Amino acid sequence: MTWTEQRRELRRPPEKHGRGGPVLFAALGWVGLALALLAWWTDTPAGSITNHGELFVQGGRITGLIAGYVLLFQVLLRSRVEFVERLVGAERITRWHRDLGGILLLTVLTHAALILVGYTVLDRTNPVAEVGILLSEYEDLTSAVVATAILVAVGLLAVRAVRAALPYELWRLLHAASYLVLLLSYGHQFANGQQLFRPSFGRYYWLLLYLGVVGCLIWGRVVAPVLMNRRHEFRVAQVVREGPDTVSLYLTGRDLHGAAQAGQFYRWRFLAPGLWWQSHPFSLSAAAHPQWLRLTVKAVGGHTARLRRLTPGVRVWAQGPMGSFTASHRTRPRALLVAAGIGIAPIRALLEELPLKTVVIYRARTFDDVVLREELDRLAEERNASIWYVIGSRDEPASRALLTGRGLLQLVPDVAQRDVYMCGPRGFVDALRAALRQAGVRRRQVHDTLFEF
Amino acid sequence: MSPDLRRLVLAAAGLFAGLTLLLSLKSAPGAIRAPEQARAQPRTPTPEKPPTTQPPTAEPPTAAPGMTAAPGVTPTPLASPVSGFTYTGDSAYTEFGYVTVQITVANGRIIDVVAVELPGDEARSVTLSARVGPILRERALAAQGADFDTVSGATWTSEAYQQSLRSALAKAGRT
Repeated sequence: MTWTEQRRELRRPPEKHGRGGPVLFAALGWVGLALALLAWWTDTPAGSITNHGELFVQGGRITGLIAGYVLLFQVLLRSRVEFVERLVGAERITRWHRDLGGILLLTVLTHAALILVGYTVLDRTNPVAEVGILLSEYEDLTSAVVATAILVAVGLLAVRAVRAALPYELWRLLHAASYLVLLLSYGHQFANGQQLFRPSFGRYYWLLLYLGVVGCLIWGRVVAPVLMNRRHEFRVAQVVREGPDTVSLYLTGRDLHGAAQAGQFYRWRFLAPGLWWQSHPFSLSAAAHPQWLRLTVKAVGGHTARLRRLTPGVRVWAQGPMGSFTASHRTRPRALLVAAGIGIAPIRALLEELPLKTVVIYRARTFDDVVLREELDRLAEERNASIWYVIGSRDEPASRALLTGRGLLQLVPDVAQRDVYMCGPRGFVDALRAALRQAGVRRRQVHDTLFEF
Repeated sequence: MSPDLRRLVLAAAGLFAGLTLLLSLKSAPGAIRAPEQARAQPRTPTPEKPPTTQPPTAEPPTAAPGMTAAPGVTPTPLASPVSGFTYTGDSAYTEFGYVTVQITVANGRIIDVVAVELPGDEARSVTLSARVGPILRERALAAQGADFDTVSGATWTSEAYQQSLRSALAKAGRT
């Protein structure tokens, strides 16, 4: 039994989601940072900085506090705990996490440099000798140096060009080393931090932050997924070939009613030989059904190629659902959906939950690469939607016109009055975003879900 | 410039601006001095303590390599009460805090040196003082005075220690 064989009613769009989540969460983040700096402020008497050495050391303390705080904020963002996912949304979390990673590295290195220069001046020695002095005086500094080295390495790996050259699984594994930073820098912060080393507001505040963040991490990464998987018990039910290298996986599970919204994704781990050790994010390619969920996957890597040979009955471990790429995040009464390649999966699901009269643009390289065509046409008919198939590689005129403001306005004259949901390779999404700006679509009307996580 | 890099540069500018603001709010009015002029100023003079006649209250020195270098001082008898005089030197100021040294003199010899105050306001100086305190004490006992090498990496603390020690020696009539 596949989707096209179902009897179904016309779905209504879900309730709208409040828009203030990211702002609220960011405001909380700033307040937390202000409290961290307050510890320094109250600890440092006015007029106490009298020479250059002290100036640098105090600057080093401030950047140290900021770096420690940003580290904890990063871990909280990535903890997958529900309130963060709901307030911020997975796509924005990914963007923030990336930006904050650069900021974290910047502040940690600034902290180290300022402290070193400051104490070099105060000790009237040279920087090389001062490194030796600091390392011998501070027991916990060695592990902090290792933590910094890990941060630098992870930062270099995150540069897009480097990252693109790495296999996804290897990247994930290496990036997970960042958790060591939390562990390795803990001792340094509490033993050597001027605002943290003795009982004080700063120390208690920091302890509270650590407890809160680690608690969220354990909840979001361990407890909540265990509860969710025990509730649903996902299993592979059927593997359906959709195209030359694309398959749909139907998964059954208990209690699936309202489990996820169209446009959301889970991280999936298939408990079969050769597959169990890695997890991948795949979007749902149909709105959640009380009996099954469906993913549509293009075999692009070693892992996804093996998914084609999955057999019914295989247990699936999932984490999610995640993402704010949903109909409840709409801001306008109509929508435009744009998909490139396998980016059609979440777009196809969204078509089921967005208001009527949606426009879909689906770009594929060749006719053979178009998947789920029958469903798309049926849904379009049911929901009074129109679909444009744009066939051709990205350099052909039709594809290029799609990525200009004028081309978009020709296809969808009222595009500026619509929410735009887009999913595809990064280059496509970036070019489309620029074209949408030209066409007069405002930024908060534009929703995207990233392929890379 | 890529958008990622642009945001990072903006963040760096914001960080620098914020740091400048916070630091300038806590800076001393007027120009910030180079640290050389700021070191080792005497604190407000502490009221001079008359030499006490009772046995020293300072803890008896424990046997340490530096002690044996001082001839005539055997560590063991010190466990029993010894009559002597203690003198507290003036506090000397360093960037990290005050240093105050107290000496105990018996039979014309310095038999103990105790730093009653070492810099301890900051995380760094706590570890520094713990490391440097015993070394300075040994050196002072071995030298029987304030003329000994400073401890590397702790020049300031060493010099303040010597300064306070000299003032204690002066009070004891040993210059």
